[in-house]
Amino acid sequence: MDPYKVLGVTPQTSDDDVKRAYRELARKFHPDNYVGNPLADLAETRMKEINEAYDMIMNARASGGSAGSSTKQNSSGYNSSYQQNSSYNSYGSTNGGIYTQVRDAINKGNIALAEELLNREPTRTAEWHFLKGTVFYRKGWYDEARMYYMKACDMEPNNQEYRNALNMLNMGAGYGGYRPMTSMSMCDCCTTMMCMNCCCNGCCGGGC
Amino acid sequence: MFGFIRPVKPELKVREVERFKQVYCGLCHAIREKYGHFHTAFLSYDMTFMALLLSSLEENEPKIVYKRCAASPIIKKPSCDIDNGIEHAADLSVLLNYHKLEDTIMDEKTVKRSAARVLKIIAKSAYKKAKIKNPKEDKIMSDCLKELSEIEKAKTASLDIPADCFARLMTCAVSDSYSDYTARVLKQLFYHTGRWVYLIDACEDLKDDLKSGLYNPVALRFGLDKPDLSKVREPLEITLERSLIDIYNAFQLLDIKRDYELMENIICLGMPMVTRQVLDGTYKSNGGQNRHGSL
Repeated sequence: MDPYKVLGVTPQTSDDDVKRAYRELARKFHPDNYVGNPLADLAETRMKEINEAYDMIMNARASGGSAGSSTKQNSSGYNSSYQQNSSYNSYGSTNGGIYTQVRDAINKGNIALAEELLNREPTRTAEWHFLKGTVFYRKGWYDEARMYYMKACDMEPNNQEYRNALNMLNMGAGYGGYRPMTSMSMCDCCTTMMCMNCCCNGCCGGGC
Repeated sequence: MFGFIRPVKPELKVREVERFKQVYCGLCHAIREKYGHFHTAFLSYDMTFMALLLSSLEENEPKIVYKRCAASPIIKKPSCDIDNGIEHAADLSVLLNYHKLEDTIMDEKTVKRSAARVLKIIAKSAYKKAKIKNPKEDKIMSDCLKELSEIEKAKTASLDIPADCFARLMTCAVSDSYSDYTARVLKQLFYHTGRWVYLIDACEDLKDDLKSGLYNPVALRFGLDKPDLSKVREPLEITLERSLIDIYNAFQLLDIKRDYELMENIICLGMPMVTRQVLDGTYKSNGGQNRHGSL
């Protein structure tokens, strides 16, 4: 692995710029952006590479040598601060057997099995709705997921797990992640001003 | 297809605008050279995005060639040479047009239906040619559209069920030639592109569909009887935004060789802008700035 290539920098790049390049990439591939995403494992591998590359470059520079053969010691902030929170543990599970199996299947990425188990279950509790929502979330069926999460929250308003899931769906994932609908708010503001301007001119007969 | 996937031109660099045009021209030439003039009439920016993305994954940058065409018969225009990515997009474009015409014949009852019948006859020979080369893709398309028409007939009151069909259809953009890694990422990217396009199209068609009594998943899901999206804007925006996020997250994981900024413009600015305009009901007028012109 060429650490410079991974970060898209050269051996001549200053420490500050290497740091900047690293931060930019780490923001993009941060596991928070990929919670529940079917490509989460790929992003995680990428994140590991970026961390390793950064450590290699920085360690080599600290010891005055060239990057590539250095051993890594201190890990960069991003990977240590992160804890996997996408797994669905069986805590709080009231209907022991079946829901544990469903959560297990979801964690293993076997969405079809989880769905089948849920469909066979005759009693539709709040947890059932939550897990069904999670299955849809994993499939990218976000409207269905949202409906089931909302139902779960309605049935058990005090359950933090259900509430978190719904909030995460509503908010879009992670900090530093891509928020398409808010990224152009400045432009929106301009357009609104322009439109208002047109209206005013129209109404006042161009008097102003 | 529909033409919802487009860049925001004022935010592009001049060379990026040129590049987009070159890929557009390249795709048009590819379709014309392989399948004849007729199919170039259905060229869309959606397919240009597909060509651009697939082409950007190719190792070698395609040459720029200067060619005349029907739209510019005297002055030769720069156009992207045909590579694997552009060629695949051209094949799919022909297949998709044909299946769309079949769809129109099934759904519509007015003069559109007779028009589609005529067009289908003209389109047939090129379609056969494209089908021989891409049997797997053709099968996916016809299966998904068949499934979709069953869902429509059953008046299914869901956004995700019909959108899933169209999303799966779009994943046929991923040919067998890619590595497992790239194929996985591309499938996710095109799945959500298809989902987004289908839902945006449903929102934009709401008024017409309500008037003519055609199937519209948005109307059925929210029980709308007037073409007014303001009350259901929140759930629609959330669900569309999630697909855009998934597209972008997948895009990040690809090994893009060139045109990164241009595609980032399309995904991060163009598609959100169209989303906003369609939900506001200002898409046709391009947010009050007249209509969407060509680039």
